[in-house]
Order: sequence, then C-alpha cells, then structure tokens
Amino acid sequence: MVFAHLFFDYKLLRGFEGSKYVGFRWFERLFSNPNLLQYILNTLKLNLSALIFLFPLPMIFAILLNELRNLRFKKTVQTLSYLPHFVSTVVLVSMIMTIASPSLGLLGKWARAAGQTPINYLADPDYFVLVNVVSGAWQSIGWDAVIFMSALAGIDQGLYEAARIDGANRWKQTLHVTLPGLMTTFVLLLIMRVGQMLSVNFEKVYLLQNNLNLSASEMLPTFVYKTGMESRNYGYATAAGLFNSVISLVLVFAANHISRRVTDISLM
Amino acid sequence: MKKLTALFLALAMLLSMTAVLAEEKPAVPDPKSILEGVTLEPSKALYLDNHVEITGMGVHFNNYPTEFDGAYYFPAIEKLTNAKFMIDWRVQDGYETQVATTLASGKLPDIMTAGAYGIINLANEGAIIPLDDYLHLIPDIVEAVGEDRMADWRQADGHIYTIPTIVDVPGSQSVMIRQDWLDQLGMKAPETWDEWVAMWRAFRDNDMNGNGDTTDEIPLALEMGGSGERAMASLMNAFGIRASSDTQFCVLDDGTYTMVYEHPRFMEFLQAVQDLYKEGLIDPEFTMRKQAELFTVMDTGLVGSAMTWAERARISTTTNREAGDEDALWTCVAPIKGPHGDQMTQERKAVTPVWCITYAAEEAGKVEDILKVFNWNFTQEGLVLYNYGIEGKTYDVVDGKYVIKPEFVSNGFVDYRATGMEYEPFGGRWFTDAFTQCLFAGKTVDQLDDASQSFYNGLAVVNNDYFYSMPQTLETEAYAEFRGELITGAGGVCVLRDQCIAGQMTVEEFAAKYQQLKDMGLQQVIDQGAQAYATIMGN
Amino acid sequence: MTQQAIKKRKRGDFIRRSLGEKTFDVLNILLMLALVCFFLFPILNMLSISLSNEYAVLRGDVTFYPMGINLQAYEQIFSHSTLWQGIMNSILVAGVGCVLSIISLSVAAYPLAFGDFYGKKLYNVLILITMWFNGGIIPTFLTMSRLGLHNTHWALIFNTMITAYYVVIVRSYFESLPSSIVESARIDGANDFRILFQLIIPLSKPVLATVSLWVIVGHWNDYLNALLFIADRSKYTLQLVLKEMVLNAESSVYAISMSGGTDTVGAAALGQQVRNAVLVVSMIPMVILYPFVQRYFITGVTLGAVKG
Repeated sequence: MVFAHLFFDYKLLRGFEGSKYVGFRWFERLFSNPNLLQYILNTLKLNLSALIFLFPLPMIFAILLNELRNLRFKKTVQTLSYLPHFVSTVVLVSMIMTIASPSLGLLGKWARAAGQTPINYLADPDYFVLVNVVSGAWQSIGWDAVIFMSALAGIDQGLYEAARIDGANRWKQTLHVTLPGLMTTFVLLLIMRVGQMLSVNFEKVYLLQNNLNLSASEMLPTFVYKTGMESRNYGYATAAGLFNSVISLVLVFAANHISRRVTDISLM
Repeated sequence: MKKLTALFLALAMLLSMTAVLAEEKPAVPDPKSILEGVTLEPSKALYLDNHVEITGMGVHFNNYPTEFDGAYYFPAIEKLTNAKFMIDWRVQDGYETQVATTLASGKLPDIMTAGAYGIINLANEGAIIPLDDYLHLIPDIVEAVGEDRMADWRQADGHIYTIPTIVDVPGSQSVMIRQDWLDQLGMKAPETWDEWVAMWRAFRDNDMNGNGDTTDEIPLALEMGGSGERAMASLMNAFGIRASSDTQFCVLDDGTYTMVYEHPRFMEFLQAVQDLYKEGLIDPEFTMRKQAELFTVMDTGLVGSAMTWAERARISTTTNREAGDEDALWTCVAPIKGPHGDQMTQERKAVTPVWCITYAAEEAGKVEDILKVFNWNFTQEGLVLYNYGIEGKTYDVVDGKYVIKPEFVSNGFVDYRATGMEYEPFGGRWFTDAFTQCLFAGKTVDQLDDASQSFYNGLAVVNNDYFYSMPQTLETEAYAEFRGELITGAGGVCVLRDQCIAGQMTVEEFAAKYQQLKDMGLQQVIDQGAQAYATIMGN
Repeated sequence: MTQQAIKKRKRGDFIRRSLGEKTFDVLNILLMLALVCFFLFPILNMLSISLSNEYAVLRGDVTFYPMGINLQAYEQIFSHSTLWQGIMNSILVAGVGCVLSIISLSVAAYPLAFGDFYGKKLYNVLILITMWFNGGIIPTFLTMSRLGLHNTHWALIFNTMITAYYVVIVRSYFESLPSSIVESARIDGANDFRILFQLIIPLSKPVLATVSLWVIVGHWNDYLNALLFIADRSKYTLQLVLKEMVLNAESSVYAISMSGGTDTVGAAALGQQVRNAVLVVSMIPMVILYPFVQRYFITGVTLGAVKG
C-alpha cells in the first residue's frame, strides 16, 4: 500500500482510482537525474562527517566528565550540557542564521574586530559541513553522553580497585577498564547510527539551505521532500525515498556483520 | 534546589500571563469596537434568502487582524448580505504543504487560495472549478478587471479560476539611497550606470556609518524573496529585462514570452553582477536576506542603497534617527540605469488571482451564492466597506467624499490595515483615493516631513516614467513538472544563476549548464509558456 | 556507589596523585569550563537580546548580558493567544504521547527480554528494521491521511509512539534485571501482564523516566510532523506557532499583489527581541521538567547486545 505510489502519477484528492498508472517512470527519471550522484555524495559527506565527529565526542565527554573529582561541578557541567538539546531544530536554525550572518552576527562582528573579512558561512558550500557538525556538537554532545554515563556507572568498581592494586595510573585505568566497559554500548550505538545516517539531520539541513550552499547541502532526503511536498510529485518522491531506505538497510546490515566478525557484538 | 528553580520559573510564566491580560490597550481604536452601536441594514444590492456559511482557507499577512471575528469586516458582510465567511487563515511559509494535507484529507473548504501550491495544480487535481461559465454572475468583477487586464486574470490554460483582488495604485517599491551618506561624500544621486557603480564603491570604501569600521557597509542590499528568486529584480531591470515577479520569465522587445535566460542581455547582466559581487558592491547575503533581515540591516545603518517597499524609506529613516543617527535620510530615487541606458521598474500587478471555488462548494450547490457575495464585494457598497470601513466610525462623508478618520491614517497604512480596512488577504478593489488618504495622513505634500516626502516620492513620483507591465509566471504543464528539478531545486537554473553570481562558476559554465537544462525539459517550459502567453493574450 | 565509598576512593587517590595526574585534572577542569561556555553562550546571547533595549540590539552591542532591560518583547509575545494555545497543544501531545509510548514500549520490550518463543530473533529484527527502513515522509503522510488521522493530534502521537531505538533501550534494561524475579513470580501464578505492570515496570523507573523525557522532548521539538499532519490553526503545536513567529517575521506580501508597508516604527527594532524571547519561552517548560527526571538519568539507559 505504502509503496504503491511508486507506480502512479498520484493525485492527492483523487486517490489511486483517479491517478494514472505510470509503471517505472519515476525510477527512470530518478536514475537519469544527473545530480543524483551529487545528492548521494552530499548525503554521505554530511552524515559521515557528523558520524565521525559527533559519535565519539559524547563518549570522550562522558569519560572526562567522569574524571572530575568535584561532584557538584560535575553535576553542573552535565546539567548545562543538556540545555542545548531542549532547543528545537527550528530554533537552532534561527540561532545559526543569526550568529553566522556576516553583517549582523556575532561571528562577523568578531572577525571584523580582529581585522579580518567575515566568512559567509551559510553562503559557502565549503563550510556547510562545518556548520552542520559544530551545531550538531553543540546540540547533542551533552545529551548523547547520557547513555555513556550510564554505562560508566555500570562498570564494576572492583575492576578499578584491581587495576589500582596492579599499579595502573588513571590513564591506564581508562585504557584497560573504562574503554572495554563502554565497548558494547559504543558498538551498538555505532551500528544504529550507521543505519540512520541517511535520515538524521534532515530538518536542520533543509532549513539551512539557500541557493548558494545547495551544491553541498542538497541530499537525498531533502530532495525527496521537495519533490514530494513542494513539487507535488508523490510517486517520484516515493521512488527516491525507497532508494534512500535501501541504502540505509544495506549500510546497517554491513555494519552489523562487520561488528559481529570483529568484536563479537551485534544488534541482531 | 533545582526543583525550586523550576517551580519558580513556572510561577513566573503564569504571572507574566496575568500581567499581560491586565495590560493597557494602545491609543488606536480597538478593531473589535468598530461595530459597536452600529446597525447595519440588509443591503439592497444583495441579501441572500438563506444564511450561507462559506468556509475557506487562505494565506494571511501579518499586518492585518487575524482574529477577524473581532475586526469589523466579516461581521459587517454577514449583516449586510446574510453570508458568513469562515476562513481558516494560514501563514505563507509552508502553505503549499498545508494545501497538500488538506487535499489528501479529502475535506475541502468552499473557497481556497492556492498560494505556492499553484492554481493550475489545484485545477489538475480536480479540486477547483473554472469560472468561465459563471462570468454573468460576477459582472462587477468583470468590469473592475477591465478588458485590457484580462490576461492577468487568466491562467496558463486560458481559463479563469479565481476571484481576483484589484489594486488601482501604480507603485509600491522603489530604489532608495542613504541621502546623508551621499551628502557626506559630496556626491549627487547617480544617474548613469558608471555613477551608480562609483557610488557603491564609495560606500564600500568609506566608513559611512561612522562606527569605526570601514568594512561593514553593504553598498546595495538585496532581498531574496520567497526562495531566493527576487533578489535580482532591480538589477535585471537595469539591463532591460522585463522580468516577471519571480524573475524567471520575461517578455522580449518583440513581444515573445520566454525565460529570462533567453534574453539577449542576460549573460551580460550575469557577468556584470558577478563583477559587482566580486568587488563587494552587492549584498553578500543576497540568497538569505529575507525581508525582515533586510529591514534590520537598513535599520542598523549598514545599508547604502536597496530596493524595497517605498514605505521603508520613511520607517528606516525614523528608526535610524531614533537610534542616534540624527542626519539619516533615505531618499527614493528613479530605478537604476544600466550600462545601455535601460531604466525600468515593475509596475504593481493590478489584478491578482486570489480565491478559487472548490468542487466541494459545487457539490454543496453553493457556487452561485458564493459568486454573488464576491460580486457584491465589488459593488459600490462592498467597495466602500472594503476601502473606508463603517460610516461614523472609521470614515465620515464630507462633501460627498469619503474621508477616513485621522486616527486611522495618522500612522500611514499601519493602523488602517490593523483595523481590518483594505483587507488584502481577502481581497477586493483598493481605490487610489483611500490609498492616498493613508499616504498623506490627512496632510498635503508640503506639510509632510522629509521622511514621509521620501516615501511619497518613491510611490508616486520618481518611478512614474519607468513602469513596465509585469508578465505573469505561467504555470504550464511543463512548468509544473520541471519547476522543482530544473528551476528552483539544486541544479536548477535559478540556483545556478546565484551560484554564478557568487563566483562559484563562470558565465560560460553557466551557459553550458543552462543548455543541458534546456535539453532536459526547460525548452518545453519555454515553448509551452510562449504558447500559453499567446492564448491568454487572446491571439 | 555509597557516599562512604566515594570518600574512601577520594582519599586513596589523593595520596597517590602524581604530577601528571594533577596536570590532567587542571586541564580537564579548564576543558570542561570551555565546554560550558560553548554550550551556554548561544543561549545567553539569545536571552540577553530578548531582554535588551531595542537600540542596543540594533547597534549589535548585545553579547552575553542584557543591556538596558526592556521587557516589551515578552509582553508582546505573551499577548499572542496562539502561543498559549500552541503550548497547551504541545503539552497535550507530549503528555498523551508519553503515556502511550511508555505502555507500548514496555509491552513490546517485555517478550524480547523475558520471552522464550519461536521466531523471537526474527521478531527482534523486524522491530529493529523500522529504524532504518520506512516508507519515508510522503507515503507516511498519505497513509495517515487515508487512515483518517490527518489533522488530528493522534497522527503526531501514533507516528512516533513506538520507536525501535527506545524498544532496544527498554529491553536492555529489562534484561539487566535478575530473571529470577520473573521466574519466581510465575511460580506464584502471576500472568505476564501482572508481572509486567506490577513487577517489572515499577522496578524499571530509571529507564522509563529517561525514555519519557526523550519522548516528551521529541514531541516538544517536533516540527516536521506537525507541519505535515496538522492543518487547523487551533491545533497548531508550539513549534508551528514558533516557526510562524520566528522565521516568518516577514509579511507575506509577495503572495498576492505588491502593496506597501509592513511594520510599524519600533516594531522593526523590536523584531529581533521578540524572536529571541519566543525561543527562550519555548525552552522554559523543558527546563522546568528536567530536574524532576535528572536523577534517573545516570542509571537509566543501557544497551545490551544480542549474543551470537
């Protein structure tokens, strides 16, 4: 039912009865789109960069946070680190636009104060990945660290005791007790993230797009949304969406398989 | 401790709520009070036998009252004609999605505006009905549109689908310059292209706003429009391109309707603007500069020249002065003159399609009643209600003329509209007379202060010799099919244009890519557009 | 860890702290302080702009503290009835959505954790797959419409009611409970529903509280689904109202004809403050809620693997 739109020139008001059957036309059009490869590359670039930076950072943050000796300070830092997560994407985008604007934003002001030409972050395709990663880090480091904090709390204190008796310093303890203790969580999360790679970030990227950064910011999901909702071509959009889902599924099964081989941890 | 803080915050929220409820009302009369103590007799021109409820869905503008039960306009219509409008107003942003969701739900209102969804798309869905066979029911509307403006009323397929709104006022936008910056430099308002460029360079190189920073001035600020398409309108005009509102289509000197990219001067325009961008003379944020942000940079004293609503000349002058820049003055000037002497600006579209009648209304047998009510809206009685409001409350009749009470026009259009007069989201016909009364706020030209004079010049003086009639964007089948992919989407020609301007590709590369897009379907868009243009022009 | 144990460990550490460790501690504290600044500054900037004098804002002088207190922006937005309606709608969706989510997540996770039935592995995979493979926006939208859920808050609630990721989290926590309690309850003759609702759920407060907060924040911040599914203005959730107020400060004049005039004098200057004030207000309910759930955060979430 859901995928039946694939084969129709679907009209919303008329439903299937009133829509024309078009066979594989949407697939043909999708695969003959000269920009398809670029959309795929952009999707991968935006999400891989997010994965590479945003995935380990929360874990590192959690470990460092855990090393703080002053409990009150630790709690305060943790609490403040969550705050950005309560900012919704719509709001986040509005903040990014304000701060990054060369004429009105703080960054532009500082750059000029330092005697430099302000960078037009949102109008330069080269900076789009950076904007995406930094804003993602701001919003998710604290929140995503929660699960690692939990895992840290779950590590048997006896192991640290034993390590200390063996004369291990804190760095060694981290290396030999903490990291192995976080391994399962890390790998499982990673597998899940790999699968979600193509679908996260959609809202933010969509709202941050403008004509000058489109060459870096148009990805499959935004293309699907625009084709479907803005250009009202539901069959075409479903075809592109299906393609997106298939890539995701392949990625996740590959990640799961590799993980099972290498670490003996798997999700399925 | 934290819980205490949380409770405190919650309490603060509640308190602020009550504090606001107790807040005093501003001096302008409350729109809700307009109808108090007024008895409206049923109209002689039209009073429906049955109480008709007309449901609707449309795009709303911020400067009009949303709670229209409280404004005078709809309740008055109900009392006069026995027809009740129940319209669900939406914001423009995401409106096409709202239309799509409404269509998918299968429950259509009686009337709706198409917004970015496109009238033709609604027609293709079978959601709305053509009105060609009903024109005899709306004689006053047909007359108000007039023979020579019929082309603006028709859609690309030659049919009429809509109840229009009509504005009998020529100008609206104007190019404006910081007069005080010119004075500071000892320059005169530019007249040739070279003088324009020289002025922009001077704005760029000097610390015009005196904040100690020579780099933050924007010589020419540009507003993006809905999705970035409008930013170039003023510069295209300077190169003789008579572009449509979204700057994608134009009519050539020989009367052919085509895409602007086909215009003989287009590549020259592109090269010139690319140079301006490289030199730092035009707004580096031209693809992100929404209207609100344009106003902000103007108010902040960063902008040397811009093209926007003429009224902005008055408002920004005032704001600049209040913010401490006492000499600030925005002057409206004639359109930018291009290197070949071209000088023109878009005339305000007089006839704009607004309301579509849905098939749901047809099934409910309401079409005739709805059209009659809309037609009434274009009769003398309806037009007075639309333009001047309620006698004794918002206007008085002096020597047979309708004079709007001063408290509604003392602040230009602002309070006039906030009261619900000239309810443009709904539409009607706006008289030049009502317009002028707002503009002058009960004064004569000589009595106006310099900022208001500037506004007046922008609207009614400096642009008068340069208006051209703006062609519409014809939503042909090919246009509907390819718009997203080949025009506005990534890789679309409008996007490539902006990327070329920003130096992401050369003009030659742009031209080559444009050829590719033509092969992929833009040629069809061009051909069908030309054909549709011939149809609506009656050839 | 008991208080005593912490003290003991600290004392022990103190004796053995080397120079390298001390340097690390100092650097770590500095790094954390830097991070706090990174997290906090944009929010402070937002808060300061919303509270500042309009001309200070216009001059771009406001950074991280308000300049010349001006509460007009807040007065203006709180007089917007749509904002309150949006907040109420969001509370409704988040509240009902959270309760339903917690119940259905528990019911979904219980057999995965304690059940022993044929095809359990496949069942597990089928649930997981939805995380990565779905019809996408458009078919979801069309299906919801055909189900008659369009323009109801139920569309928002059902759409995210059972998220595979949360199922995994809840399942993992269930698995960490000693399975002996389930077995002994069975021996006492309790059926699965009683075991789940009277035994397991009360024991799983930490994870359920954490997931509740996630679900609530998810609903609270959801914009796209609301845009897709909600048509009536009276049903707008907070994010739709926000979008209207924040990103839509510009009047929609291009849509119809091109008539002049949009802002009053001063309103333009106030625009930035209003925008920021709206953002601040949107965060407050979450900030209020958060402390009540926080203590469960540290212990609540675990991830367990399927062996094999």
